[in-house]
Order: sequence, then C-alpha cells, then structure tokens
Amino acid sequence: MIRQRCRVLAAGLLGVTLLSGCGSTMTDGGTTQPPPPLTLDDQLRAQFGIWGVVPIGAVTQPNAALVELGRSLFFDKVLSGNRDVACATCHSPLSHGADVLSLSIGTGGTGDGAARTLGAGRQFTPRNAPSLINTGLGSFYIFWDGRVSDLGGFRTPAGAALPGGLTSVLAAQAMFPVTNRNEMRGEVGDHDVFGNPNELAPIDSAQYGAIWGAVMQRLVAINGYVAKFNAAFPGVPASSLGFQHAANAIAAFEQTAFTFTSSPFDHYVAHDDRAMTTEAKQGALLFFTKARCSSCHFGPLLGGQSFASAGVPQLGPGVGKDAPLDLGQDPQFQGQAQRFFFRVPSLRNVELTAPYMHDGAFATLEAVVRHYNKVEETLRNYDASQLDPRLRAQYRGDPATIEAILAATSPIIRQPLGLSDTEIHQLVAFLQSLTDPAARDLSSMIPASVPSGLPVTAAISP
Amino acid sequence: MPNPRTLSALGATLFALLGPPAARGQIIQIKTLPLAQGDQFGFFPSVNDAMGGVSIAVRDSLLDPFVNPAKGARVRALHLFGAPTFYSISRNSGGGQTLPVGGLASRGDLFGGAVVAFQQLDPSRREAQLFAPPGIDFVGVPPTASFPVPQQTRAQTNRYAFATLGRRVGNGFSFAGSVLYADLHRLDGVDQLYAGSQSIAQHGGDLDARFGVVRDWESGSSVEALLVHDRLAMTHDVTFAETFYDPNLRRIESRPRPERNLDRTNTWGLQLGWQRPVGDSGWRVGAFATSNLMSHPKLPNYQIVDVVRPVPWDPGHSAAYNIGMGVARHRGAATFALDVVYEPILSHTWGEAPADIETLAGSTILAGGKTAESHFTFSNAIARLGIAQDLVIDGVESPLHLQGGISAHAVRYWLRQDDHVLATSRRQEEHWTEWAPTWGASMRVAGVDVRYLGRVVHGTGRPGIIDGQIFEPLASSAGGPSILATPTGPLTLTPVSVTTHQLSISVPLP
Repeated sequence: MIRQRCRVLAAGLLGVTLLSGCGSTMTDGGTTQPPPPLTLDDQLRAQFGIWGVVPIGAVTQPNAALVELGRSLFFDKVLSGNRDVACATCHSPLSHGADVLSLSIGTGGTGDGAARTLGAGRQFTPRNAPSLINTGLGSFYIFWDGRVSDLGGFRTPAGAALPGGLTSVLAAQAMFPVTNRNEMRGEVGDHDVFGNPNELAPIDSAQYGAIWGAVMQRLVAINGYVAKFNAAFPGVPASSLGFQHAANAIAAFEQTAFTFTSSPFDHYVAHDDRAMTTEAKQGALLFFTKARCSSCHFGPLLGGQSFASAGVPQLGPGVGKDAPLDLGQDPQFQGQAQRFFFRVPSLRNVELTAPYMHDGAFATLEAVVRHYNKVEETLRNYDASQLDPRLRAQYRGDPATIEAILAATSPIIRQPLGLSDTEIHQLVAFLQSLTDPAARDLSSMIPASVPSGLPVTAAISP
Repeated sequence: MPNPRTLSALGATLFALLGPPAARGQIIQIKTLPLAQGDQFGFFPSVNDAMGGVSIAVRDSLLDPFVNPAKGARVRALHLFGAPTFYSISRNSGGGQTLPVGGLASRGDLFGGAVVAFQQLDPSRREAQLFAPPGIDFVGVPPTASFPVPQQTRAQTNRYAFATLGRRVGNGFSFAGSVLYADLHRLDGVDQLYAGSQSIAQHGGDLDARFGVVRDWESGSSVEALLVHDRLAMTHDVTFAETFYDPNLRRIESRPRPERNLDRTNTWGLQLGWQRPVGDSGWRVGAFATSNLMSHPKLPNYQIVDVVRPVPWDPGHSAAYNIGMGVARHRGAATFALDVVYEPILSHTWGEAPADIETLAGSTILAGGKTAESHFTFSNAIARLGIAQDLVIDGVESPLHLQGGISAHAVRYWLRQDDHVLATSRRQEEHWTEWAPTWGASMRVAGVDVRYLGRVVHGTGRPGIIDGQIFEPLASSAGGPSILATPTGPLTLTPVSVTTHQLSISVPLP
C-alpha cells in the first residue's frame, strides 16, 4: 500500500517538475512581453548622458581676507565716478545678484530696485544686468555679448592694456564696469554726491590703465582699504597694487558669496532620485527632448558655454554703431559674429533672476517658455505694455527689425515646439527645481558699512 | 550566443540567503534571475552529493548532522574530517577555495561537533574589465577612474564557524541545536551587480541557528523536525567613478562616489521529514515539507548593465514552501536514488516613498507609502537522480565506490509589477532550468575515508561586462545564495558554468 502511494506521489511530483522546467534554458527562456518603457528616471538620466549634465564640484575657497576685501569693494560706491553706484546696485543680493529691472540704471540714478529712476540726461543701460549667481563656476564668456572671455587666455575690450595677474575671467570682467560711463564712471562734467568734480570722467575711454589707476588712487587714500589690501595681498607693496588686485578680490567675493549648487536638480544629478518632483522630472525630460532647450542650455551649468539667437524682442537704447538695435555677440572678439546672438546663460537658480533674456523682455519663466514654444508668433505679437512704462518707447517692434530678428533666429526654435499648457507648466516646474534654497535670501552678505563711509544700499526686490 | 545587451532592461534587487544546507531545502532559494552564483557554500562533506545531491530517501552520514543537528545522534564515534573544496567559473571569471576542518563526537547521551572553515574568493571581475556604467558616466569621461581603487582585484577571505550539541533522550528520540556563523567579506557575484562601479567592499555576516528533533526506529524508519532561523546582514560599500564638472579647472573630471547598500533578510523555517525502508526489498522512501517565512527589511539597489537606476526596493517579504518525495534502492553493490521537489513561492517587494510623492495621475503617495510593488508567484521544481556502484579491487581492503548523478532545478514565475508613481502595471513570465551533473568516488584507505566530488552547473549566467567593445560574461552556480530581483525586460545572460571539486577526508577514530 505504502509502495503504491509512493509511486503515485512520485509520479505526480515528477510530472510537476517536468512541467515547471518545460525544457527552457536561461538563454532562451521566458515568455516575456516587450520591455516596458523606461522609467522617467531612466529616460532622464539617459538624457543627462547625451547632454553632458554631471554634478558640479566644489569651488576652491579663496583666502578670507581676499573675500572680505572683495565684499567691501562690491558694496562700496567709491568705485563709481560719482560715488553713487556700487557693483551691488545692479547686482544686489536682495535681488539675487541682479536687479529687478529689464534694463539697468547706472550712475546718476536714484532709488533702488523697481523704484530706481534715471538721472537727468541719463539712459538705461542697453542690457539686463545678469545675475552673479554661479558666475564663479568657470564661465568661458562674460557679458551678454561675450566681450570678456577666457578661452585659454583673457580677451577683453582693453586688449593689451589689460594688466597681468588676473586670476579668473570673473576678475577680468570686474575690471570693466568702472570704465563704463553709463554704468559707473559718469560723464564729463559730472560731480559726485558730495559735489566734488568726478575725476574719473574726464579720462579718455580708451585709456583703461588711467581709469583703473585713478580708481586705485581713491582706494589707497582710504585707510580702511589700505589695511584690507595689506591683509589680502601680504607682501605686495602699496606701490605695486593695481586695480587688478581689487578685481581679483571682487571676483573672489562673488565666487564665494554667489555660488549655489545645492538645488533639487543638483541632488537629483547626484543620484538622489527622490530630490525632484514628478512634475519637475517630466519638465526636465521635455527640456532635453521635445522643448529642445538643451540644444543651447547643455552641460553641467545648463548653459553659459555658447551663443544663440533666440528671437528675443529688441528693447533699449541699442549698442554701438547699430543703435538703437543691439546685435549682440561682439564682432571684435568672435570673428564671425552673427546678428542678434547673445550668450546663453546658465539656468541654475533662474527662478530667482527675473526678468529674463538679454534685455529683460519677459517678466516670468512661463512667458519665456511660451516664447520658445512659438517664437515667431510671440515676437510678432510682443506686448510692450508688459514693460516698465519708461521703456515702452524703446521697444523696437518695427517690421524690419522683427524680420531681421526672425531671419537670425536659430533654426532649432524657429518652428513651434507644440508644447501644451501642461507641458509648459512642467517645464517651469523643472526650472524652479534648479533653485538652491540657500540662494533665496542673500541679505546676510550685505555689510553694515564700507571703508569709504559711503552708505551701503542694495536694490530691494519689489 | 544571445545578445547580452538584452539584459539592459533588468532592474534588479537581490538578496542572498546563506548556509550550506540551502540546497537541501531547509532554506528555500529564491531566484528571479538566472544569475550564476559561485559554489561558495557547498563545502561541507557529503556522502551523496556526487549522486546529484539526492537526500530525501537516503541518509548522508557526513552531511546530515549539519542539516539537522539532531541527526548527529547517529554518529556513534569520534571522527575528524577535512574537505578542501575548489570551484572555478568558466570564462576566467573567478572562483574560490575553502578548507573546512572539524569533527563530530559522541559521549554517553551527548553528541556534538564543531567545524571551522576558511575561504578565499577571487574577484568576479578581472582587473581590465569595466562595467557599462550608467549613461551619465560616459560623457567625456576617461574610461577608468583616475583615483585609487581599493581592493577590487584582491581575493577576499571569509570565515565560518559551526558548532552543534545534542542529546539522545531514549526511545530513539534525539534533539540538538546548532549555530553557524559566517563572517563574510565577499559573496560571489555581487560585484557583478553594480554597473559602473569601480569597487565593492562587502562585509557582514550570516547567522544560521537550528533546532532539530529526530526519532529513529530500529527498522530504519525515522521522522524529523527542524526549526531554522537565519539572519543575513551584509553591507556593500560601493565606489562608483563619478564624473563631475570641476569649476576650478573648468573641465570634466572623475572622482569616487561612495554608496552604501544594505542587504538584510531574516528567515524562519520549519521542515518536517519522514523516511523508511520498504520491507526488506531494498527500497527506501522519504518525504518532507518545508515552510519559510522571510522578511527583507532592506534589499540592495543593484544596478545591472545599462540600468541607470532601478526602482529602489526597500522592504519585502516572501513565503516559500516545498514538498518533496524521494525513493532509493540498495541492491547488492548498487544504489539508485531519486528526489522530486515542488516549490511554490510567493514574494512581494516594494519601494517606500521617503517623502510625499506626486503621481502622474495627480494623486499623492504619502511618505512611507508604496511607490512600486512587485508580486512574484513561483512554481519551481527540483529533480535529482543518482546512482552508485561498489567495485571490488583485488588487493584493496575496501571497494571503490563510484557515484554519478544529475540534478535539475526548474524555475518558473509570474511577475506583476505596479508602478504607482507612473500609474503603470505590467506582467511578465519567466522560466529557466539549471542543470548540474555530478560525479564522484570514494574509498577507504588505511582506515581513512577518502572521497572525491565533482559538480558542474549549467544553465545560469552573468550580466555582461564591457571588455573593450566585447561583452564578456562572468561567473557561476546553484545551491548558494538566493536571488530576488525585479526584471523589467527579457532575461538574457551570458552563459557560464561553475565547476566544483571537493576532496574530503574523514578519519573515524575508535
């Protein structure tokens, strides 16, 4: 009896065994459906590989004395001919390293932030003040037209007059606002806030060395700066100090104070899948695919490495011989300048730096995305009423200008992208994920006073 | 040759359940990938392993005390043993060697024993080989890391200690407990499962505690019960070569990115067994039934070739059962044995949201909620077949005992996977069979039992690796760690085989 039961059980188990195995092997086994679509994370990380998006490393910290000197200089209006404008006026920590104006107001202006007004006989600067956030991350080009660059050597408007010893392209950039009449130096005949003649203004604009020397004379006449320079540059005699030393200090401060690389996107890139919302991830995927943003905003900084013509409305007083137009990329330095090409900015922390584009033509990120969605339509129908009333008259919406801009617009975005409202909102969510929370409030970097004793003010967000 | 690239869709988590008796069914092996595993834990000496590993209807005087410690009651005299064991993996993909030494003894009603084993495992990947890393790591990056890579190519040593103590309580009843602790610094094959990594430092251990009861009748019948508790705790410190933008140098550089993965599984198991001779016909029959309840507090987030980032599988649990029957016949100098085992298994793993997560459908998964779930339903089967024959050789004091056999482990499962974030669901069915021919011989020489075992396992593979542009495989075998993985596409691995040789020497002492 037992034997019979065992035979039956054994036969049953053997049958199950054979049915389970079914003759398949590892290499051909499996009745599988087609592979499912990759997850959102898989798709997104694959795009990172294509577009060179990698984590950003730490910036080497300069010595504290150099940073402190730079901080004083950054907020001190003594650098301007009329002693009424500091770097921080247009690059305010309270406005995340920029101002809130479409086009900035330089020397002669009064007030701060959105309430800042032009001085008598002054005009807006031709371009939007770019935010300083993350400009210390090794940019190759500075200024919207890239007229200061470092492609294996500094190229600047000063040419051979640029002194040696500059430590970065950011320092090279810091040499120039003090030479610009509209931004900081002032016009011939100007008087400073104390009623004294502006001794910087009469210097010929081509005499960069003389301008820098004059600014340094102001600085070394202030005991507080002498001490700070000595601390920042021990062993460098006062007679050897040049404005390049000041520029290095300003750049050190900017790099230290305005570097923010701890956004949800940064964490996501550093392998934390949970750092971004699903909506932001979908926006990111659009960014790298359908919306074609990454064609220009690629690399670890999502931009900052190239120039593009984005079909942006023309606005402002214009630049150089082409005024009232602004043709962008500086022909002097690029050789093959193309019309209406401007530097593609890094999008890190872009949420905080409105208004957008080289002339601040768009007030919100959504407006920018909608512009890219239908460049031609947006350009032809640009509503100048969205601008500061003082700027509306400077909108260049004539058909010839529109056609010229469209003709130069990058083919990548010339055709409508076909983004839905949902997709536009997803893209905006992604752009918001590029914000480092620590960059939202930068007020702590504002010093209580500066060595010149001039008042420290910073543009206040509206 | 299958295209190893089809593995690209594999997202995997894996856990390992350790212990030399795993192949005997007390702890049920779960595999969702036909992944080869080195024969790392098959080092305890056995009388029957060369017969395809048959065990249900035949006794194994060497191995049984390590499977159910109460069976140590059958050891009536002191004997010492050593069993140097070597395995190698085809395609130059690694291997290992183990030297267990120990003894079993009996005095009065007490019996017990102890074993220590030292094991050296070679790395599964060769120095020149490089995993295909996630896409991000391909971008303008040197193919190898520019930083020092620790212990990638060095062999690692594992240590094992086993102790058992039991008592005969009369009327054929015996009970005993045993503890096996493994101090582990490498589990074979784990370094294949972190695509893009430069090194994996493993450390941890496995504690296997057993309590068994056996009743033996003089007729040769027996019943047994075994309670098992196993706790696996491994830590994998993985170093990836991460590319990053160095703002100081304004270029892409490479740096190490450490990542720690935890592998935790706890198992409770109960097995009941029965065995008896069928009259004096020479036939024996046996049967057993096993239940395992497993919890997986944390499963590692493995990355297999081309899988950029699998869904993080945090906890999970499994319920595994098997029921088996065996027959054996001794007739003269010949022995025949057959085992068949059926294994139904249910497994459920999921990922937990660390914070509130929006879903594509617009709802919110609260922190701690399930972001994705995998439900596995297995219907596995094992068949083992073995024969043995004694050959009398003139002038030799004992006959030459020749053995041969084969085992087949058929795995079939159905997967239902739900991604609650993307609001997607899918089903998949997979099956494969692992084959293991065995052979062996034994002889008593000068009072010493000398045994040789050979085994080769086919039917499993390893994820490919990039060696230049050529995908090459790596290692191994069945009977070791279990694998619970969540495939997201067709299963195809590069086939490999694992060959094991064991020479055991047992010295009975009066």
